[in-house]
Amino acid sequence: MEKARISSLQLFMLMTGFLFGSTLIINPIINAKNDGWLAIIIGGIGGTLLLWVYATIALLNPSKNFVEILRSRLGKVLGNLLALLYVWYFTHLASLVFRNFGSFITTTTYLYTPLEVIITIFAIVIVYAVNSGIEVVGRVSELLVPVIPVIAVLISISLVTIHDFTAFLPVLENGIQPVIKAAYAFLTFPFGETISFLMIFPHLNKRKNLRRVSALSALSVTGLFLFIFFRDITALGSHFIYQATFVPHITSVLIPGINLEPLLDVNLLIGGGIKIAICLYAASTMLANIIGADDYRKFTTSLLTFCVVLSIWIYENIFEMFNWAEKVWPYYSIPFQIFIPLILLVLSLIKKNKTTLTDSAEQ
Amino acid sequence: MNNNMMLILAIFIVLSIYDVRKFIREKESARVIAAYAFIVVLSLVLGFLISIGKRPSSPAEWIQEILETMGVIK
Amino acid sequence: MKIKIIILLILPALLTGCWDNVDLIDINLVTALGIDKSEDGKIIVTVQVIEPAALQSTSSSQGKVGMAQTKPVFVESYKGETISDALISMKAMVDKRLFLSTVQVIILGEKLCREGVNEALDFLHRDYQVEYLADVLVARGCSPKDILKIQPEMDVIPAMYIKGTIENTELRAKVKRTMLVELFKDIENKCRQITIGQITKENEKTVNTEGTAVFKDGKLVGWLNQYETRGFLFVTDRVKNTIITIPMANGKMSIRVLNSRGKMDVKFKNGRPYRLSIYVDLEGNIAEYTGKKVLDAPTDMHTLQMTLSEEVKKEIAMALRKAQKEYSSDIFGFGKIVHKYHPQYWKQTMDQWNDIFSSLPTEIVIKSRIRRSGLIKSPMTKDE
Repeated sequence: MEKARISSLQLFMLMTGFLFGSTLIINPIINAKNDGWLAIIIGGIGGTLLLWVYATIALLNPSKNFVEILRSRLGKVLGNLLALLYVWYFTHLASLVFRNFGSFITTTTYLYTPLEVIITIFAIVIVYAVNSGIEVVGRVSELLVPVIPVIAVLISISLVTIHDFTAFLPVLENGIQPVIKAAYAFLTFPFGETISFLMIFPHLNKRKNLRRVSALSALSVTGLFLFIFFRDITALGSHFIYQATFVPHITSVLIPGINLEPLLDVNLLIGGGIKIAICLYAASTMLANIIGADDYRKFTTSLLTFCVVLSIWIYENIFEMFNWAEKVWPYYSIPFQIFIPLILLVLSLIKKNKTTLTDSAEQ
Repeated sequence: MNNNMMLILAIFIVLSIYDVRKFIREKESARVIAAYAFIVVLSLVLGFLISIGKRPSSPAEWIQEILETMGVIK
Repeated sequence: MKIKIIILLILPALLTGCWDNVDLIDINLVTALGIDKSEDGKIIVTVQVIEPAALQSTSSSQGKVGMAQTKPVFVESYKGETISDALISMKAMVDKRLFLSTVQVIILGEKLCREGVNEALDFLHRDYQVEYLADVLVARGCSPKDILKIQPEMDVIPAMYIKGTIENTELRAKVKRTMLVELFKDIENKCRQITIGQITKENEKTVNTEGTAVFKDGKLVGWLNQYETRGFLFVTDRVKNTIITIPMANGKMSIRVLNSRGKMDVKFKNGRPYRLSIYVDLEGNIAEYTGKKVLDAPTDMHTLQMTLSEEVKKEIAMALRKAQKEYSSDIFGFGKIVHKYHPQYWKQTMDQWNDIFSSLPTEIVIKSRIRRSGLIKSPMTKDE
């Protein structure tokens, strides 16, 4: 097992980058139209609770990673089986991010560059980062993630002249149902995806900060998305937002006199890069744990190859991608993001009550 | 025929050859090599199928169909 | 190790590179785009392309005799099924790739607008090259090609000349400046009908941008003249500077408006709208006075302000009457207010809003202030 250590700040940055990730370009809250801000708040609070649950699972099972937790709580066979399913889930997630990223670049910036080439070049950089270890990814995120809010604020300031500050009215025009739907989709994408951090939590050097760091990063990302949502809706209006393929792209194009659009690609590279790196790290560590290999690096290249092929294989066109992200993903994710973690939480709590003595001795 | 896809597969083959060399040098256990070979061969075969234009139906469609038969989504 | 370093050196180069690099000399920079419909229902696209090399020679060889004067721009048009089809097929006559990101002005033909502007907007919205901040105009009485073919003396590039006349609307407020993105916001949006500035051809060298084209459900239904346009701009809070002339005893007075704020409201009673309210606050200086009476008493200023208010009110009323009675099209965006603050009512009446808008009584409240009188206090010709 790797003996890497990451600090609380690095964890915070990794989580923030992960949560920001590709949500910037495919945001499920668009379906709530004007009430997107409500969906963000509800989804953000739900997401914070979900992260709290994940952190609690990690705290109840000190110094165990996700595979070991699954094995010790559910038995060896079932645990390994579920762990294999999670390997698939994380690989799938990484390939979806690859695809979102590639689609965005081929639609807005490099129209004639093949999707495969963009994805592969990005993939090779990421496999290098992951092979360097989670500490390196942590340090890189510490350096790069602060750029994300700076860019968001920069674009917003440049647009301040064309704002219509009441654009988010009327409230709840179509009732509460689309808001709840969008909030739930926002909960599963991106918050629920942080289940992959259960492979990273054991590396945190100060374990008592775990819950605070997770909650803080979830809340700050919620705040950032709220900010971006208000920027987009005041600059574009709800009608335009609903029509656009990639909303922040259009917002950045509106700035008179200067083209800040490449900055958006920068944001995407940082967020998406961190997200893929963590998914790949989680998938390969889990696979190495299941098989009993000593080093996760043995599987990074092979899993990455699979990710790249999968990302091209998975959708035929961009409509499938949006349809899937909106309609299928939230339901497909239920067992992985909510059902299994809750079972683990309950089992861990029962175990803890039985062995309070040994647990307190450990701490 | 998708040449770009072929090119990319070639890059990944080169990357895997490096890994395989390391495996042989360190006398890796059979389980690791089996898992490794399974993933790489699977992706190469899929990649090849995509590049010659015979794309099998994707996992996205399978999952959607499974969820539809379960009645979770419409 | 060495291989690793080499790979590391190659990777950054890959990350920056583009797949399809095109040099500047291999593209045609399109500065203006004209879109119209032909009699047989096809799309005619006109492009105005600049020749950077010729531009340079015209500016440096001015006054020299004997130099071959190549034209700095050329105009070409092609008939196709759709805009993108026409643009691509046009390469039968144009040598290089057409580069649309430099488009400054988009001129729509009258026929296209009468049949619905949506089909043109789809391409402009979808294509990744088109600049969202390009100015849009509707050509009245002539085709977009006629407009783009002018050879202005003020600027070697006609598109820049046209854009200049549009940009100076903030000094005169007599044409509505519409950017492409505003159309995207309002098209298919029942809250506000779109309006686009009007352009006409004066002669071979000049154009005239005055007035506004009024649309209803994406189709051109009529025009506002320059004064109605100003009234419309006062209401929608787009007037920055303008000159308003009011009649006086024995002459006229022009007021330079320096500051104006327009506000709209829809008054509701028992869950139904009963009045459209317009509030305009404006501030100005005396720019010119050809009357004879000396204006020094405070009461004079008061009556002056009243007359100014009346004049502005007249223009607004004219624009309102045309929008309500003649075209039945809510170009002002009262629907937006209803949508925002009375969503339940809006939901039921969304589709008939233009009719409801036309039938509502209106109330116009103008508050004007005249601050200064320029460098002289009394008129040049005084009463005896």
